[in-house]
Amino acid sequence: MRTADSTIGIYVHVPFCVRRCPYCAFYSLEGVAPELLREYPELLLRELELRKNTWQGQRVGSIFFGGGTPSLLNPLDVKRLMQAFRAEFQVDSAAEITLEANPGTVDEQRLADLCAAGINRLSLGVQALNDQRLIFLGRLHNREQALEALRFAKTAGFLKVSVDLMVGTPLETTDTWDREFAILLEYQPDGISFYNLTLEEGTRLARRAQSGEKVFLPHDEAVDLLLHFADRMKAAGYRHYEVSNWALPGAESRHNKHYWNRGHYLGLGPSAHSFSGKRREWNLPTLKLYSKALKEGMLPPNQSENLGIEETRSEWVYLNLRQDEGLNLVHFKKKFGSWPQYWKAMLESISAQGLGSFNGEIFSPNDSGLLLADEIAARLLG
Amino acid sequence: MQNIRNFCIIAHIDHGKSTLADRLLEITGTISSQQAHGQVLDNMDLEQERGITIKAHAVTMNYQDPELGAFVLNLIDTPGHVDFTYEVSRSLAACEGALLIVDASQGVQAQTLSNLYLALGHDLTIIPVINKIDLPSAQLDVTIAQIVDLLGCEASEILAVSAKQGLGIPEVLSAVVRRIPAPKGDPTAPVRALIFDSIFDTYRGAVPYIRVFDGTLRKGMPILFVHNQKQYQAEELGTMTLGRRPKESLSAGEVGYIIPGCKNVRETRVGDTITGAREPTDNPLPGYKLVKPMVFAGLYPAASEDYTNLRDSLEKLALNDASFTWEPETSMALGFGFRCGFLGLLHMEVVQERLEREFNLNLITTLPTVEYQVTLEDGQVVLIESPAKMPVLSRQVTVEEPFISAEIITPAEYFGAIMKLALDRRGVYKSTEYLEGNRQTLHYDFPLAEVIYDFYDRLKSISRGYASLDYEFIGYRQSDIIRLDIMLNGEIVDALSIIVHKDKAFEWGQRLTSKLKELIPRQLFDVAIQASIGSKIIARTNVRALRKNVTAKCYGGDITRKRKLLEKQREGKRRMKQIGSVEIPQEAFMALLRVDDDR
Repeated sequence: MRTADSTIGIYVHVPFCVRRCPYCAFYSLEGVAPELLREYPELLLRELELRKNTWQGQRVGSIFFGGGTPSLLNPLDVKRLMQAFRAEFQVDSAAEITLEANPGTVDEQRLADLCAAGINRLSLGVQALNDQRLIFLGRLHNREQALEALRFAKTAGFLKVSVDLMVGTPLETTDTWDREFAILLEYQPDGISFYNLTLEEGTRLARRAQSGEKVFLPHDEAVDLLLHFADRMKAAGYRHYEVSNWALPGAESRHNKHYWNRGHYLGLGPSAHSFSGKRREWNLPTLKLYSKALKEGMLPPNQSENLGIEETRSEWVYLNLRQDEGLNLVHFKKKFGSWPQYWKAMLESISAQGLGSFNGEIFSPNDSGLLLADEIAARLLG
Repeated sequence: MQNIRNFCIIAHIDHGKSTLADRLLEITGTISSQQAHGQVLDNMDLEQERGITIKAHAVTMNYQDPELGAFVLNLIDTPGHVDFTYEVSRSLAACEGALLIVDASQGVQAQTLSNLYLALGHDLTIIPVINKIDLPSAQLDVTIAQIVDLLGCEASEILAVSAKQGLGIPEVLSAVVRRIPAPKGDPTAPVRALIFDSIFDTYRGAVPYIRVFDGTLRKGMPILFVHNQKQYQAEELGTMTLGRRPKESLSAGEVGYIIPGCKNVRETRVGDTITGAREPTDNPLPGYKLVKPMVFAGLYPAASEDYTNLRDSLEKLALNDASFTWEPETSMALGFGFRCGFLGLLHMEVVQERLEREFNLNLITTLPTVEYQVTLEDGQVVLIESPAKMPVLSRQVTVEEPFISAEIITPAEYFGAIMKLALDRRGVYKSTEYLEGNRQTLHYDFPLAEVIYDFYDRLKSISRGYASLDYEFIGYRQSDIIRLDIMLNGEIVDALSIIVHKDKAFEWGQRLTSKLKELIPRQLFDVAIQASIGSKIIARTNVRALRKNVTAKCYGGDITRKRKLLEKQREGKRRMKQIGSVEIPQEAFMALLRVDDDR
């Protein structure tokens, strides 16, 4: 049965950015104050100290430094944090240790130092290989810097390098992308994530949209583009293992799959979420509140929710529908008892619409089906 | 009888009718000032919210005039919408006088006029009252000039008040007792009492509100409803203050209630005459009409398990509303529901809102239609008030539709726009009368079907509120009427069929299909929307399949948020009606009513 393995994942949030990207709604502080950046690892270690009792001795399958811009961390601090994790938990020797890097913040040395600090998977926020679009997206780097970072990443010694791309600005066509694509594939990234640009409340992009600026490709054009990528990626040997994620077989992100299969995870840092099977909790959203509590020797107060059977079922269904392995009714039955009568007919009709395949037991969405995962989930959950 | 005064208040909407009524009740000690805060006469929530009075009510007040002594004042409230013109006319018939309220800042408005004409038609003594004189925007001189012009009265006869501030209220009462004539009638003659309203009391049954014109009704006496020909006993009678106050008798000139012990308001019809069963009058009061529903629509529970609840609620509602009818009907698309009859569209909306609010029901209403007389091929004549029952038309079938005669009073400057609207609604021009003050009365015959949708609203909007409408049913006339069907992915959705005039079928087909295109969300497959007459497709469009509905990122912190978003989406899906393979939002059925707005 494909459920979470018994290991846990650790997520470390790094809420600093040189400049906020106009589409991003994650918590992050703009402009980097050196003293805050120096102090931050101490706070993380203090939080770990206060939390470790609940999680102590667990096997760790993956660690993820996300942000924000984790590549702003001093590699020595990354090393210290890794040492602390190894001291408190049983970190698998094959654990996947990811760090997100912004091409505008790394050079060859820093990447080599991060690798030496224990990072074995680098997730590089390339976003685009087109200067006009990088400006539209408010990024720090240009195309040349992105390619340079990619070159350094490939030679720094990471086991896996994956690249994030942003899709769906009004400046894109399949032609412009094909040229970028050809170059990108020369670097043979282990994984590529295509994030369809979405409007998050309160972001600068949302305000630009409100004032009438056209910030998106229209629905059908965006879909055409995403399906065009799908074809190109498949031809290049990549697997579409989640809505936005592609990887060479075997190079899928272990940490992310762990989320989608409802594995347990410990989140450190402001706004970070933790999940222990029945309960999800999240830290207070700002660094100020977070550090105040920790300096007084307390765990930052957090919010939480207890997941009942209904919530668990919903999450299980929609998260599985986001993955190419799809919804396995036999697994569902084992976990939740029998499934609603109408599912079978519904999944048959959804397959007949060309959105996936259904053999009576497993519904596996295809590229088009993955783009409708929420719609299908809402229908199934009625 | 000499110290009784029966009167009503007439006004344009928002000119302060209810507030003035509250002040009168307060100053006569009928209610305390604390009770007065909520506009006592309009006691349904809905009436307060919509600012319209739907059901008439009456209150008896005791008033001590400093010079003339003690009086009994009966204030009768009147509903204010064209759907309820008949009820208004019966309330006015129960009075000898009317306070005509005019807002000092807005002056004479359309409803001021239409209500005034109705009141003059009943020979009521009019006391003009200018309200809201405390407003900074009050234009007292202009308003006085307008009223003098309108009524041909002296400026000195016009009262100036602020109901809100309580200014000038004693003068109103003083004018009521001095200017409005005392009722006339013979307390010893056979009883003649007019029913001007009828409410339903859960414990006591139907409670008619009455004005006694002749004779004396006594507690316990056998009574007869002249038109209804039903005999009952006067179990209880009395006057209304805030509640009911029982008395031994009600005599000529008095206003009050009677409890005859009948279970249904249908037997105590507004306009009927109550008389003594032993000594009945042979001269019932004039003006009785059996009010019949003119507009029909299907009401369906959004959730089929609410069917029984809907039936029980309709039953209860009908007890209180004699002009509302209902019977079961079945739709392929919407399941089990009811075909309901209403006086007009406002009445329909009011009933629908009461069902949703008071009985906590979630309803789907189909497009309203009128009642057609269809002569079938075998010569049989049937009444059809539902598109689904309309036969496929052939040469041998003739259809007649109801016509009304309409009287539109308008300032001359809107004449052109109104003529254009009338033409568009298949109006048949009859005549024009010229009135004082550069106003005209237009007489038209219209097919009722053209008037029920939004004619009144459009008339108001093109005349900036000044034109008034009154109409009455005049009979059936043959017309080129056909049934227009709507198909979704090739299947007829019976609940979306309409009956239209042949010349308008194409236009309606276009409008309905393009409106549905807006209303039907993109689904997992293309949805073809077609309008057809018989087997002929006259309009088509389609809703293209949805191709993307997924959030791009879903990591540790997103899972809860995403689940909550999904719950919202599911909630949205639950408000959809599954018709064949297509999901239609419930709102679509009602939104189709408003297709005319988009023109």
